[in-house]
Amino acid sequence: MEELLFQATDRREFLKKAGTIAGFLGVSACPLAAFAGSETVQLTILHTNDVHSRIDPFPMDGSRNQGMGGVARRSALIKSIRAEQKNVLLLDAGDIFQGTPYFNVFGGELELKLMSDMGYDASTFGNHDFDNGVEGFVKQMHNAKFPFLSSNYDFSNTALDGKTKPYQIFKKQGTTIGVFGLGIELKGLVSKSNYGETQYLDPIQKGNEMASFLKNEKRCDLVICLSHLGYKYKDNKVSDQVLAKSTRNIDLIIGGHTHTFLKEPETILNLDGKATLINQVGFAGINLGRLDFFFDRQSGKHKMMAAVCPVSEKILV
Amino acid sequence: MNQYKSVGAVLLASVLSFSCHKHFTVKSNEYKQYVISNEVAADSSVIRYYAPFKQQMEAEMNKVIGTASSELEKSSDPETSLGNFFADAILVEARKIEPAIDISFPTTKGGIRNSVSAGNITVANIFELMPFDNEIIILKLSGAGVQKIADYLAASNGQPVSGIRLKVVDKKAYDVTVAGKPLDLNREYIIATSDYLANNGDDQSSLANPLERRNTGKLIRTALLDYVAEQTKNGKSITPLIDGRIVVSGN
Repeated sequence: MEELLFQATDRREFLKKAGTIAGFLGVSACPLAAFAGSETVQLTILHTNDVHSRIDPFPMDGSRNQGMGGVARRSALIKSIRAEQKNVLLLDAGDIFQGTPYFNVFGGELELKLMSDMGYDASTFGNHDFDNGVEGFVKQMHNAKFPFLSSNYDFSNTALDGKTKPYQIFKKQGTTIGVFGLGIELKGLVSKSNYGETQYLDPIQKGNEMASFLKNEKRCDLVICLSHLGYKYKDNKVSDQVLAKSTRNIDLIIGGHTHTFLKEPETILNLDGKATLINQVGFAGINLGRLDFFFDRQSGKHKMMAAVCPVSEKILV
Repeated sequence: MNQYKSVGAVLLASVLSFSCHKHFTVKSNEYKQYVISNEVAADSSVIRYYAPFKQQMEAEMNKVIGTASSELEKSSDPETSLGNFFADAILVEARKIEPAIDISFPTTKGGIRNSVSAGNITVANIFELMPFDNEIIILKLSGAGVQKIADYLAASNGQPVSGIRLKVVDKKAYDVTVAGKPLDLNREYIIATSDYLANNGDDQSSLANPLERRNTGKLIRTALLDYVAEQTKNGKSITPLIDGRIVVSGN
């Protein structure tokens, strides 16, 4: 509706342009691009995975990652990026919990509070987020001022029933971004007493359904999957690579679980032959990933030109 | 002008039919990765915010849960007091989950990250000893499977184990006994280990292809903490023990 309103008020300008197009159509085979009155919208996606309760930087003990990471530094970095960028989404791909005594002492309270302070927009579940059981997670959940997204865990017979979301839609300067979450099979990875009656559903099927829903029904300009499936495996176990090539409509997979340090996002062609990006930034908050998407705002006029091209030609002919 | 207007009308009509289509398309993207090192200035408000948590966490970590009568040493010897403490503790704690466990092989020597000094044992000491979040795994192995463990123990100059004894000559295992009886290749044994070793960690595959596997969800560190706390409750300190479970000769 918004767009139609815009069209109506700008009709005089619109008619003028339309006339100009009509005049040019006979000259060039594809004149539309030249007239696309476009405006670029920049979306900045910041992401982490497998931070594993790493609040302080790694201690200076001679270990490989000594002095790396730390929430206070990450927070400062995010603040400086937010000062420069209007449209920021801050996302996490799970395994927030377990790895330092902060988790053993506070059960995840501090991790979730600090993430909320940094303005995380969404996360998904990692296997270690169940380390204090479903109940242990629920107990801390009020500290998270952001949603936990999961499409392939059925929590209906657990204490998490109704407390998670399948997806979240974000609007940034007119763009619509759909985010959903997929988790790894918990059996064999997490003790049954901790995940309880959580049912694991096929991530390929659920991912496809959710991505199609977000892209086609919710008209998202970008569909992001927060995945804790793992980057890749030697065997056929479902991974981000398998997910990317077995689905449609996912533009970006922000992965976790395998603690993979990718130098840059990997591009995989999906079932439609379109690019799906996969990224993962190691673990423990050692790195912060940043992906900037530049959208062309296709104004009403641009859109119209593209849409009516054949019709106009017919008229002219 | 009339001609233009009519074109415009057609255009407008098509806007109606296409108006709910997407209005943004990704033109390009760029990637950047920030390394969070000491070159990134810290947000002092965050440090202030979690300072009370840090204090409390450190207080919890400094809680004394037991005592060591003398130092449990980390060394490359075939059998160490530190390794024996670790393996004995896991045998006791894992038997609370599965009483039929015959042997524990919960870590390699390299997996024990610190020694335990004489005197007070704190929660932090156990974290330093076992910083990894490995869990206890229970495996059922054939007698031949246990022989593979013995072979690995011999070839790698001994590892922390409990419930099994052997002699090593020229990196070969002899006189292997379990619970005082010679290893019986025709029976099955129950082993407590870690997910790390069960998954062929540390470049060993002595536990590959078990007859059965059960994940307990119990962290090895938690089991060590429980063990020390229970010893303390029973009025016992942790005492270094070398009992000849792995004896290497003929080198």
